[in-house]
Amino acid sequence: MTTEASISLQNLSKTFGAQLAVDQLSLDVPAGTILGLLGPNGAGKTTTLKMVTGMLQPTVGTARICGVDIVKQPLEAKRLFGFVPDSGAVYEALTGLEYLLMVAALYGIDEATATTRIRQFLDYFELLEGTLRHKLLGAYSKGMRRKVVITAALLHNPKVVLLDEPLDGLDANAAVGFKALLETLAREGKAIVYSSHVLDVVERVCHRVAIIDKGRLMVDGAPADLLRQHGAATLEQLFTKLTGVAGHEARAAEFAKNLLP
Amino acid sequence: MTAATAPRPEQVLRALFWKLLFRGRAALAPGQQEGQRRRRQVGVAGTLALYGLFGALPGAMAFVVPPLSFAASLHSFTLLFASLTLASAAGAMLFVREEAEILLHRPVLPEQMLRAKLAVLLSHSLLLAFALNAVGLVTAFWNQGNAPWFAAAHVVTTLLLMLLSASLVVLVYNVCLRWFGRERFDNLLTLVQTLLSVAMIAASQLLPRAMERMADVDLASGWAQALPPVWFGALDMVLCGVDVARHWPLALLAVAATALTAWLGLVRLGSAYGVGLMALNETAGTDERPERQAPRRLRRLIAAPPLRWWLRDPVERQAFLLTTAYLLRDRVTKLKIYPALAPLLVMPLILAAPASRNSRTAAAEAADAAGRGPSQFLSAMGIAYVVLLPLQALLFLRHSEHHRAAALFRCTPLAHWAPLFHGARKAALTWFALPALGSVTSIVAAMQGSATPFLLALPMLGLLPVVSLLPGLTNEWLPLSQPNEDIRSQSGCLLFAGAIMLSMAIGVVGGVAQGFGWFAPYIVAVLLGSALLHWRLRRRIGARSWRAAER
Repeated sequence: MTTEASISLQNLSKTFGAQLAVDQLSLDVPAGTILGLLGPNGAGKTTTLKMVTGMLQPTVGTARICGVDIVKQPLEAKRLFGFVPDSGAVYEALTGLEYLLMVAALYGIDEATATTRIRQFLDYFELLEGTLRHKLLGAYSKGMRRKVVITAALLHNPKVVLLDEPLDGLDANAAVGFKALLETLAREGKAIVYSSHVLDVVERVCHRVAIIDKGRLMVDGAPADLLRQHGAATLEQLFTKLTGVAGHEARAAEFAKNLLP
Repeated sequence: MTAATAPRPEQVLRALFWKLLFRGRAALAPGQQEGQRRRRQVGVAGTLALYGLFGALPGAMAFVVPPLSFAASLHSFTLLFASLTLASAAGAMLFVREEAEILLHRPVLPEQMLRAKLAVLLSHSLLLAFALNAVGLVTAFWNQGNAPWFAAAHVVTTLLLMLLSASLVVLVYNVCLRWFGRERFDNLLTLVQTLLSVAMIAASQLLPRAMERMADVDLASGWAQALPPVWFGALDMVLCGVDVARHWPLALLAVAATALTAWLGLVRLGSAYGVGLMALNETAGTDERPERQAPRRLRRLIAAPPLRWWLRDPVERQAFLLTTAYLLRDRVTKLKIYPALAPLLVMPLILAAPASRNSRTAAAEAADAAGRGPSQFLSAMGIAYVVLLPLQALLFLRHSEHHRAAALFRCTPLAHWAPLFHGARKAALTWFALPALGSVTSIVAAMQGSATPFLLALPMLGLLPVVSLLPGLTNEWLPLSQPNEDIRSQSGCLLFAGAIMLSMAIGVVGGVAQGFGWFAPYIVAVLLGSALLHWRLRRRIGARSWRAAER
């Protein structure tokens, strides 16, 4: 018997006019796995996540969530995942509570259940109920807003969690708490994709790492295996080797020397 | 299961969009929420009252025109004001780029979003439509030859008219977004909003003039049959049983047009809405054009005289460039500023349009011929609207979605904020006031066949530099530094009203001076006074430093 991967991408490609943003990306993420999606700026990470979440139409290829095709059965697929976009966009004219109740209702969660769940997240993220109830989201700090966005993504207890730079704006305590939460969620059997530039966090949290560059998958595997295969001591070294320019220290020294006073 | 008691997604979305329509999309600073809520409530009540008052004009037609003309005039007002308000609100509500990040990955269909938005827009515009028609629904009982149940029939036809408007708006926006792409769509949206605001202003001025002739025109024949308000007026007549044999073809046209447009806009192209939203999301930040020409041209322009001399201060020059970039590229800035400025450009042309000969006395015609008549004076007043352009532009240019970025200015080692203000002010003068002055003056001169209106407007135009400095007096003025929600501040309205009164006073005194033959010395005196005031104001603004609490 074969088990269906929680997330399955097959030859996923996206072009914007003549520009190829994602090039035949194929990936499977089984349940209980945290996959770190890494890549330099403009590598195609966010575009990939947007295709997986149905926000962008793939040019070629398929993306399935627990076997459900996001293009053919969008509603069914969207009920299965929670997504934290990197923009952290929210309706700023709503209070935090109004926003979360609205999101809960879109997933078919009644207000009483939603309120109970929101309270759980509130406690976990140490948000004040008064703030959530009375303050408009536009007046929240970046970290508080990010906590609301994360809550909105997890409120319906999805099987798949897609995170695009989720720690952006979170303070150290909240970040530690969030990483612990991710590990717990994975142990419960959720598949998690964690897209980030922060390599040490990915190295510590993720079971698997996929590095993409110019829309193509460069490597995919467990961090320790990848380091061994490529003879790198850290993920940062591996990342630089695969996607960057060598000799950063020498370049920095040269730059500082030439910098005008 | 929890889903049993949860509201349907469309209900949730309707509640959401209704809230956003009244609250706006961005939040206010802490402490401003309560005041804003009260202002909003007063604002809604005020708008309805104003529409009700405005509706008294077609309502009064019940006493003087036949039923079809009466019904058509009510529908004309509805179409021009409630429908245009709907079209204007639709632009801001239908396609919001950030919305894709918030809603597109949730389990809702784009068609559901579209239907929810449309329901909200329709309800809002129906409220306005019924406020506009309230007086007419009462006076209809005194409309000779009309049925007693006209009011009931008119409610139904108004509903259909609004449905036609809403479907048409959705259809047009959907088609444009699908065929033109995001970059051009933004410009198209700005153009549409600008044209709508021009149409509203022009209609508010021209409709009452057209109504003077309503009693003499047979709307059920000739060119008038091409006008949608006449179709819906005919539908009113059919529902009221008034001359059905004559009116049914036009009534049928009203029903058919509504049905076809609703089918095309909401059913046939309903799914295209999702494609449109995706397109907004898709092309964001992926402009493939090799290199934009505009920045290079702009830099070349400011590197050459006279702008090089005028923008000697490097901070002023950068503020000028920043403001210009937002005027050219930022969707939200374009959407708010151009539609707001367009009426100021249209008013001079409306004021210069020749009045009907019936309404002018022989004395007025003789005075006009001598260059001292009411037409010339009105045209001069019209030209003077140009003075208000930079003021209005600066009131808007202080606000932006990206207002938080203005924190940059407070972190830099600038002793005063005045150069930032002057840079933005000079951009407003360069891109709005000067071109408008040239074009409006030439068009009015061509319409009037003389340069007299321009000469009469000269004292008022002399105030242009002074008026452009006024926003700098109110408070610390930084470009793009305030949230958009604060745009209608009381100080802004007061400034605007003050500037209008000042220029009108200067204009009226100029008219009197012309009558006494002192016009030339009067112009010299005004220009000298203006130069002196300009110098004083600049010094005063230049001496103001940053607000201590925020620095």
